Amino acid sequence: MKLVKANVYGFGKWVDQRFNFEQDYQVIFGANEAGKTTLLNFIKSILFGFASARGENKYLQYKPRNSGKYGGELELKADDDSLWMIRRIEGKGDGEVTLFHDDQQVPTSFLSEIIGSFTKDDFENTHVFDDKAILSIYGLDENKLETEVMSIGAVGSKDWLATADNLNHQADDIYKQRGQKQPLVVNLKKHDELIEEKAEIENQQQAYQRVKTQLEKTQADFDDNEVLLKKVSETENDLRNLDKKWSRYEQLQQKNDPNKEADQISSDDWENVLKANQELSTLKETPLTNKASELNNVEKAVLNNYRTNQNQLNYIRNQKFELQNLQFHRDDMNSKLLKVDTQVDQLFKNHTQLSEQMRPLTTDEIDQITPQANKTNNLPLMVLGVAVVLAFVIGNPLRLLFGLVAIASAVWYWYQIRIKNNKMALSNFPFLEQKGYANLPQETILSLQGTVIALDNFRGTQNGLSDGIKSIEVDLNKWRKILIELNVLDESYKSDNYNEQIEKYFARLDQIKAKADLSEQNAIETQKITVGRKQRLDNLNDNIEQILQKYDAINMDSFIRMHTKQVENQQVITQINQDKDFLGNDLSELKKYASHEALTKEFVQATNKKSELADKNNELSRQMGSLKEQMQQVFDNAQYQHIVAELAQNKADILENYDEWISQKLASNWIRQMLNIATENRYPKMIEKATQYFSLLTNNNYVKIDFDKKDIFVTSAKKNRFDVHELSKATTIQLYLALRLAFVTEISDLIKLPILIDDAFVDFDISRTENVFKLIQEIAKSNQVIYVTANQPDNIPADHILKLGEENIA
Amino acid sequence: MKFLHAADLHLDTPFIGISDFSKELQQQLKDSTYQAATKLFETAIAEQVDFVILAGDIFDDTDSSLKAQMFLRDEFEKLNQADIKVYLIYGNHDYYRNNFAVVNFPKNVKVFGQDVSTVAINTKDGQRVGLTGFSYYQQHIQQSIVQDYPDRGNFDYQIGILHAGVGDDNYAPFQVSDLLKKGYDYWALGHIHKREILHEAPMVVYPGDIQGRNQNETTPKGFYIVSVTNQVTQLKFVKSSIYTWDKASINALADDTIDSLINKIADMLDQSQTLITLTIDNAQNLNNDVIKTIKRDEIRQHFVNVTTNGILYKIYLKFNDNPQLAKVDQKYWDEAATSTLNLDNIKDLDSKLYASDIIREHINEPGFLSSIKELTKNTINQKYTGE
Repeated sequence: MKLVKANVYGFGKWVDQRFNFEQDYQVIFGANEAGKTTLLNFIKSILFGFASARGENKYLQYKPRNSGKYGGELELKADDDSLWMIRRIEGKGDGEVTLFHDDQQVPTSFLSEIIGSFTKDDFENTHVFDDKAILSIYGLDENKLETEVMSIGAVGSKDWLATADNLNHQADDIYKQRGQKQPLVVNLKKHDELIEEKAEIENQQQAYQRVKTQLEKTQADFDDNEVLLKKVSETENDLRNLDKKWSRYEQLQQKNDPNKEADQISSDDWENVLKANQELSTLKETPLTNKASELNNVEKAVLNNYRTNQNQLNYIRNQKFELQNLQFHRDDMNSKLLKVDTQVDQLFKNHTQLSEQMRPLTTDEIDQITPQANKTNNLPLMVLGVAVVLAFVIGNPLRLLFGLVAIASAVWYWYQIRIKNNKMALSNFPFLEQKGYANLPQETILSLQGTVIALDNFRGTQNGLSDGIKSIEVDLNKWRKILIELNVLDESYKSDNYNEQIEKYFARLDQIKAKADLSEQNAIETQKITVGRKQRLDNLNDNIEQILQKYDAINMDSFIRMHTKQVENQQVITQINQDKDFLGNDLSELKKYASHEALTKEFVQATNKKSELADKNNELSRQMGSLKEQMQQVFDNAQYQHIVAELAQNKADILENYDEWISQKLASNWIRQMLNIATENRYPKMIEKATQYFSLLTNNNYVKIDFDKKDIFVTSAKKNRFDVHELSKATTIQLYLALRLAFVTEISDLIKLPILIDDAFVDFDISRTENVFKLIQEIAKSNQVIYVTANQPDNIPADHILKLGEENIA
Repeated sequence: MKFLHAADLHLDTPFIGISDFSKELQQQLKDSTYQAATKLFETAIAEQVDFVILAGDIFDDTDSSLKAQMFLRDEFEKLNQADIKVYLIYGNHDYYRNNFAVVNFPKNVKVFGQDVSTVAINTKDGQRVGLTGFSYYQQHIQQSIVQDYPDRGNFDYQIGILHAGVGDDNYAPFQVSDLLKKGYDYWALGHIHKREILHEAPMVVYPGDIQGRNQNETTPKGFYIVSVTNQVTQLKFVKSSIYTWDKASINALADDTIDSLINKIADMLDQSQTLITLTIDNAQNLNNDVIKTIKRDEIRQHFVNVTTNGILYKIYLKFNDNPQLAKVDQKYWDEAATSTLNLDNIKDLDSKLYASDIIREHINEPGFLSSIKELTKNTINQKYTGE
């Protein structure tokens, strides 16, 4: 397919512009900004679609600014000389395409007749050479080149390649040789770890056998030790027992057996002596007479006194009542005197003017001081006097009556005096002062006369009574003297109740007399008892003496000492017997030890030995426990079982991973291999061709192109091998050209599209530029080349040059 | 005369892919080899056999067999009480090593030594029976030991006991014809876990293991009660397996959902004590989300939490051929397959992986390549559908 015409409706700077192209190669020459690259982009866009308005490509849309029209037509000539015309104008997506074949409109799907399965990217990668494309050489590797070749070689091969790639990637997700995280890698690592872990676990049977042997040996040791321990334990117990008994043993050793042959005081004798002695001392301590019935000296004196003065005392006893009468008489007078004293006091109390000096006035004297001489009625006074005397002399109740009469008459008299006194001066009467009425008014004197008379009478009575009392007192004192003499009264007795004292005396006397009789009787009784006791004492002493003699005891004390000694001895014997019983058979054992230290030493040794053995016993028991546990662990074998199960699972996982990996890997390889076959081994042919082109371009400086995993290598004629990165820029471009041109020519039987070169050779020297053009011309024979440049090319026929910017456009 | 022939007890086998199951089920699975063995010994007593032959791989692991040894000792003692002899050889799994057997078996047990030897027994019906065999003393035996077996001796009935694989270079390789030449009446084989009668008259028998131990050991497992009357040998299979592994598949349809798949699968889980490995065929028909759900193991998790008769062990998705593939000429695929899918290529793919014992052994297993080819195709089918 060769491009013959381009008809631009509107694209970048080009509007309504037509271009004609040579069919083999076409050089388009123009200054910068002349629109060369725009033209190349126009060709690409019409063939494969406009650039989208989005992303980086929007600058490649080339929508004209000075025209509403967008797009254009390309006319291509097929190998059979039929003409294809592609029209692309603005429309949905990458533009609206109309396709004509020999002026007949055909479905757009026929576009593949021209561009095959190429996309714009494919075309740019393989047929377009510009600065950008050339740089992509650094990303080229064998796989990519091969893929590119194969992608063109068979129907749907691109999908297949993608699938193969995809499978390869998926396989890489399962396993990568240098990977770390992929499941197969992980599982293989885990397998190694598990094997290692398994190797660390002892063979179960061996472990079992080993532990079993150990256990049996330990068990035997334990049993032996157990026997020893038992023996030592017994020894220790025996020794402990002896140790406990040692003190008793020692006690026993220190006790001397008392002589049993010494005289034994029989218990009967002992008791008899004791009893007798007790009675003896009781008897000795008992008083012989009843002292309570004895008369004391005072009593004796009283009795003697009585006996001496019996007649007088008996007389006194009879005169007792006489004495009593005397006393009564005196007392009576005393009480009367007391009464008169009271009445006198009463008079003084009632008559404040009354004084002790006042004496009754005689009738004359009264008349003198009475104005109505003699007219004064003295009758009241007489009545009064009689009444008072009668009142004192006569007993009740008449005394009261006379008292009243006396008072009434006194009042009457007093009244008369008073009337008289008012009429006279008293100072004229000296008797008044003599008789104690000085300074008193007459009336008062007169009125007091009754009272003074009464007082005077009272005085007389008082004197009489006092005299009576005195004479009685004299009698009584006589009696007192007699009574004192007869010891009836004590001198110290001050009172005069002699009657009572006499009675008291005789009461006591009678008592003493009775007591004296009793005492006499007692004396007779006591005499009898004393005789009996004397006999009993002699008996007892004899008994004691007999028994004491029997045991050669000097006296009671020595006998008691003998008995005490005997009791003590008995105690010792009992203790010794108890000790012997307590010690029993151990006694002979204990005797083997010289001292307690020797025993203790042996005991401590035994204890130490026992604890040593017990420790060993515990240790062995613990070991056995541990071994039994180990045995159980060996038998249970959980860890091992776990690892074995893990290993089995791990193996299954590994194989599952591997099967998946290998099937994906193989599937990928199978697809690629299938495509390779289907594409007739274009790739090796292409490399061969590229080598040839490269050699040509470099004046045979390089003779080989080959690859490692990532990079392209070239070998110089001098057999030096260079990485693509080591090459000069010009050489790199040459290599790229060689590879690309080889590729295009290799697939030219399938896809024939013009090669577009955008000023790619600016860095070439003259000779290389010439070589390039030689190659282009050579290739152009089978594949059209369109080459835009800002440099005027030499040695190119003019009809193959299209100058932009000049008016030679068709 | 009657005897019991069993092999490959593999006591204490660890089960894989069961960690999701309930603790109870896990424990039952772990115990299942013991349960099966108990059934075996009970049957021997119930059937009043003259003797029991255990043709190797009694223990799964010789490093740790104490529990198994004690178990066997007790069981053997019961047989001893019932006057039943035991003839036992060690296989490649339990090959004899020092200190391996620490538990003494009772007197009725005869363990064959490293060298081929023959013992005789008189059965209750008066038959004189010879038994010839040997035990593994190493894990691998490359030479054919069968040639050391003596020709038929002076016995009424002679039995060869052998733990080996037909033409299996690592495990005392033999051919059936080698055995037939010896003129024995019965070959009691062990090693192959699949029950198989290689030859009749004389009988050459693999009883298989007594309990399936992984998803590949399908079908009920057990042992044979062998009766010999008038020189005629008759076999009776007795099932001992507690759990049966089985494979099943369902066909995926385009309108299948997770729920509809769960219903279909639930219908399949009707057998109790059965562990089902399920393949969903034509998975390419399924909606992408459904496939993702299955790949996240959600369906299986669902059945872990749901009570069903059978147990869903694992789900595989099988993506069948896709019309898309046909667009590429089959000859390209085939041509590419020969250069890609070959063992050398696989071994060279990654030297580090091939250095792993597990992977190397896996690659060298017979049938590896074809299974990987299937897997690879499945991968491509799935990948193409998935994109």
